[in-house]
Amino acid sequence: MPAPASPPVFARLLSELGTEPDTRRRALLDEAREELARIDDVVLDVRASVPGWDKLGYVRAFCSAADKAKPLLATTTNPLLRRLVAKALLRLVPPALLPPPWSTVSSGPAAVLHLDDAVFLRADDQFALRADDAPRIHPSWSAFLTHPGLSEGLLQPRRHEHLLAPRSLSPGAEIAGSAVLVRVEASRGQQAGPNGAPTPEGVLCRVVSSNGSSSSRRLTSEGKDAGEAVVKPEVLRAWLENAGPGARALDLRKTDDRALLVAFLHTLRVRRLDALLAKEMDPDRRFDVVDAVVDAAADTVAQACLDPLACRFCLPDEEWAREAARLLVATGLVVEVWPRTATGASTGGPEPVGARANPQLVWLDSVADAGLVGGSLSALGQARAFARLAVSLLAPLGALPMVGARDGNGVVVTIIGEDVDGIAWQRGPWWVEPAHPLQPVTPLLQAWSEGRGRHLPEPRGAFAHDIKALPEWLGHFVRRAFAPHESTAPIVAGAHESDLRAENP
Amino acid sequence: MKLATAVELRNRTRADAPVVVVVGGPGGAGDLDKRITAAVDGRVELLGVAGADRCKEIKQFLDEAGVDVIPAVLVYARGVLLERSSSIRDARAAAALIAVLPGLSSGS
Repeated sequence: MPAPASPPVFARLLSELGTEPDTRRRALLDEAREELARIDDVVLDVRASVPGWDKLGYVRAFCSAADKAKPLLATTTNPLLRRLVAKALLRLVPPALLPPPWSTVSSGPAAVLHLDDAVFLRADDQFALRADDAPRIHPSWSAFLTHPGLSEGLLQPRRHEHLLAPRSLSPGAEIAGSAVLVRVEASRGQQAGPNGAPTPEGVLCRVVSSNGSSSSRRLTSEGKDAGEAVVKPEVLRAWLENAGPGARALDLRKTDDRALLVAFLHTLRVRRLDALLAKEMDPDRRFDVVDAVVDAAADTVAQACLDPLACRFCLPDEEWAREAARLLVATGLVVEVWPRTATGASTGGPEPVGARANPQLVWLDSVADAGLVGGSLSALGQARAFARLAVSLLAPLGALPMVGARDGNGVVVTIIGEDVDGIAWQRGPWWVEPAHPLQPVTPLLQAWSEGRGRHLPEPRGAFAHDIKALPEWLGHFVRRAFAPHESTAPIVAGAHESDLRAENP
Repeated sequence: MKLATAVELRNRTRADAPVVVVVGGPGGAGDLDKRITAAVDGRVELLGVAGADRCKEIKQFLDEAGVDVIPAVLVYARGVLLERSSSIRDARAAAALIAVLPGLSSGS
């Protein structure tokens, strides 16, 4: 069964790229990309035409290509060249040898490690931000956040999909998260609010279960009925405004964050979302656009880089696989890791970790540099990159991120807005996990049922979104980041103190 | 490198001081802990976990931290997991890993 030949033309191009002066590099890059496309065609043809294709053959092709690329890898420090090599090698990794969930994606991670030319070529000036990069965002997209009573309105019945609340509201609720999801049903009691207006003393909530059903009864951890599920509105507001302890804005002194911003703005242009943000829009349509902007941010991160663990070789305990492992180790590009078996996870007991499991082989981070520009970024690093983008540019549009889930693989995003009558609404929350190839953006309830994003940060000790200050922050951020007179002074927008309130007591 | 108990892991990773947790593989952490020790250079507290899932609490800790494979290095500051890696090949990679810690790099 034929395996694709190692790519000699591509290897030659790459070696020339390492030695040619800059003036010739751009043409060579174009040629290398065309060659990469041809390699793609060969690989896809073979995959399409050969059922049960020769995995060992592909590993041999991978090793052969890696050997050809090693001289270049040893001499170049250009992260973009290294990511091109990684992208070519990635074509030769059979999806069947990848860990889940990538093993279930028939095309494998072929579409990742991608930067459009318009972004790729900005590397020449270290992704310096230019005045014409600045996003044009009509004030109406953010101004509603300053409207009085917005937060209170969000807590009214039928104004929200789901709100987060502490697990203690109903410890016995059948839900997998460390918090619970609720819908407010009615107010209970009245008290004087901060401005003298009467506010509810408590709100009666319906606590949502994993299967989507809900109950307004509080259940103890033993499953006993403990009365109505009533919580103070301040608690719900604290969860809504919870930015998490890990919230940080983009630090534009760093090349990676500038590249991320340039790539995100390019994605907005490609998807024509920039034009929508530039004009005033019917408030009822805002949610769809902001939702699409959140998707664009997640996709920008997901397409630009890849988690080295996500594309590791997972070889079965078979004879051909032992030969494949020997070949891969001989390249000098792999390190061995061992899976934590799922046995203990299901039983809750101690497990014989890796005692009998085959080692798995990680290779990407020896080829591609760490970071968004380099292309090698852990799932956690990808989530944090998305989070920085969200804190800087999505929160001022009403897409509030909560950063600091225990595993760090994702970010909770809740979208708030106002309808045409000025009535507040809330959608979500969603779990945004850029490194997940199948469902990077998914409802939090569904994510919990899949075992993702279960351990969320509590508001206490975390940063909180200062919602009313977000429009001002957006203007400040855009001015500082894209001001043309900033050419010599470092552009600093990394301080989260500007847009996030002091930590919750 | 000090091997941590489950209680120490919980408490130290929530403390103000940043901490790096090295999770050993079947044969221990091998050279990984040496590379991390050299990179940390006494600036950050270093905790080790050997035989990663030797008790239920440590297994739970690793589950919550999203550790799928070992060896692994976890970088914490004030209870927030800042980075997680399983392939530290040299001192440079180790240094890059812990550079995400506040105060350890010029950009933080």
